Amino acid sequence: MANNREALQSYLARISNSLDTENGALLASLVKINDAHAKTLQPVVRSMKVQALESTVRNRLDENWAEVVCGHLKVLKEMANATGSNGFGSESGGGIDIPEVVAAELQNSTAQAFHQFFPSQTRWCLPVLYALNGDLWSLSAQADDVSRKRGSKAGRLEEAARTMNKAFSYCVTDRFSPLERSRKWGTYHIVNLLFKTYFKLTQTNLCSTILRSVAAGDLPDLERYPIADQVTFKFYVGVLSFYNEQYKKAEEELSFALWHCPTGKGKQARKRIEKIRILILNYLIPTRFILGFLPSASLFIKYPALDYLYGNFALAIRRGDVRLFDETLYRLQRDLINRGTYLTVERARALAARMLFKKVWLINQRSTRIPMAQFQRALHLAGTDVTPDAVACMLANMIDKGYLKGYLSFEKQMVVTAKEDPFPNLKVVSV
Amino acid sequence: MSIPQQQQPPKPPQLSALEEDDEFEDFAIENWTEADEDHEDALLWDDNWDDEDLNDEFTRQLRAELIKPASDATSGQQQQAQQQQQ
Repeated sequence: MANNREALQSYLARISNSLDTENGALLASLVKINDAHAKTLQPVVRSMKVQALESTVRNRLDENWAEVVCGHLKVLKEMANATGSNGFGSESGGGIDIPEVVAAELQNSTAQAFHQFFPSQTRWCLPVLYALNGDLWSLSAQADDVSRKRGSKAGRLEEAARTMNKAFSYCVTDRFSPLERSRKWGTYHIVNLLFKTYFKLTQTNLCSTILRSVAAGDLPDLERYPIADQVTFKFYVGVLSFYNEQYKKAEEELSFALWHCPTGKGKQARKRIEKIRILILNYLIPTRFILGFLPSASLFIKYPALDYLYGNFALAIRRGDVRLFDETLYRLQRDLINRGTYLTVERARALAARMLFKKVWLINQRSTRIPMAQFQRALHLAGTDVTPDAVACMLANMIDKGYLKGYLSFEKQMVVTAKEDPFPNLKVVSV
Repeated sequence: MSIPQQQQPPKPPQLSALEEDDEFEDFAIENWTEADEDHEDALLWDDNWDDEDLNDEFTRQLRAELIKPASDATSGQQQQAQQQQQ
């Protein structure tokens, strides 16, 4: 018991010290659930009653911070109690209170307690803001997973999003602190956390509200924020542009994210970074299809998962093999839908068709007059039997999109192609 | 979820790992310099693929199809289509 009190006192002394020196990083680690102190304090929080814990903390710290630290210790107590019994990780349990859900609720209150006085604080305690909201994310996502498995309502992450939204507005609306000490420096970190949450909740429509507030926020330029914030933010904006079919913008943002990904030091870090790269490329590859860039064979060798998803499409576009394209699209439909890229890949079929038609032109010795029946036969070989009218329609579409320069002569059933460069390079074709 | 999976080839392990959890993971550090970046992936692209290579197997088949006498391929289908319309 005496040891317990000592451990708690020494923990509180470190908190107190980090407050006196405004050491945000240290203070942040002392309220994180996966920091070393959580393990040291496990027997303490398990054996002490909540009331005793609270009074010890309040005797030592000022009211505001005491509230946050009490909240944190209650989360640790809940996690400690649940370990080894029926909670945290176990599949069954039955009771009304799911420990993961209780822990997420307690973490939510802890973050809210901090947000109560965060508007009177400055930049130094941003690490604490990140720590509390980051743990709120993971505990809430975990709680929802467990709730879903047990067939009960999963609403913790949605609740967490509301709390994080407060954190966001307290950052973006800091009008009084001098810029060097402003909470505005926390904006993009919290925005990224909110985007991660909205993506997981499949409420990406809410991201545009955040983006509007960011634009209206009179913030320092994005380049002045930590590179990690920049890369993550560009990734999300890139994916949102991708969903809105703004492929040029998507390409810009995702390329930035890919370019600035760090190497990662150590095996684990490299593995995490590789996962991030694959995630970026998952959207960047179909985006670049549309813009007329194809991954090289070496990229596909480096990432077999991406080869599985996109390798055959790249080959089909390169060769004009519409049949290979269609067969692959059919076979991978479900995977592509899961990856969120089906519609864009489907759209890239026009590029395979363009190449097929270009080959017809080349085989016809670049003639400026080619019978439409030649294109019909090419499509027949590619597994698509269409009527002459449908061929004419495809050709007209291609002319409309700028993939083919020329016109159709219906009277003679001919395609009359431009003398100069009838199949312009895709980079000059607007999308 | 309803599409049967039997016809699918085995997936590379990286893909199944991605499917379980496709969140953008946090970076362990906030700041790094250009020297810590790896730009290889940005360079493994081909913007000059739109060449006029007619030597692959598919193009050979295409050439054979296009120089066939008109009677056996397309016009045959046209006749069929006309018959069906009648």
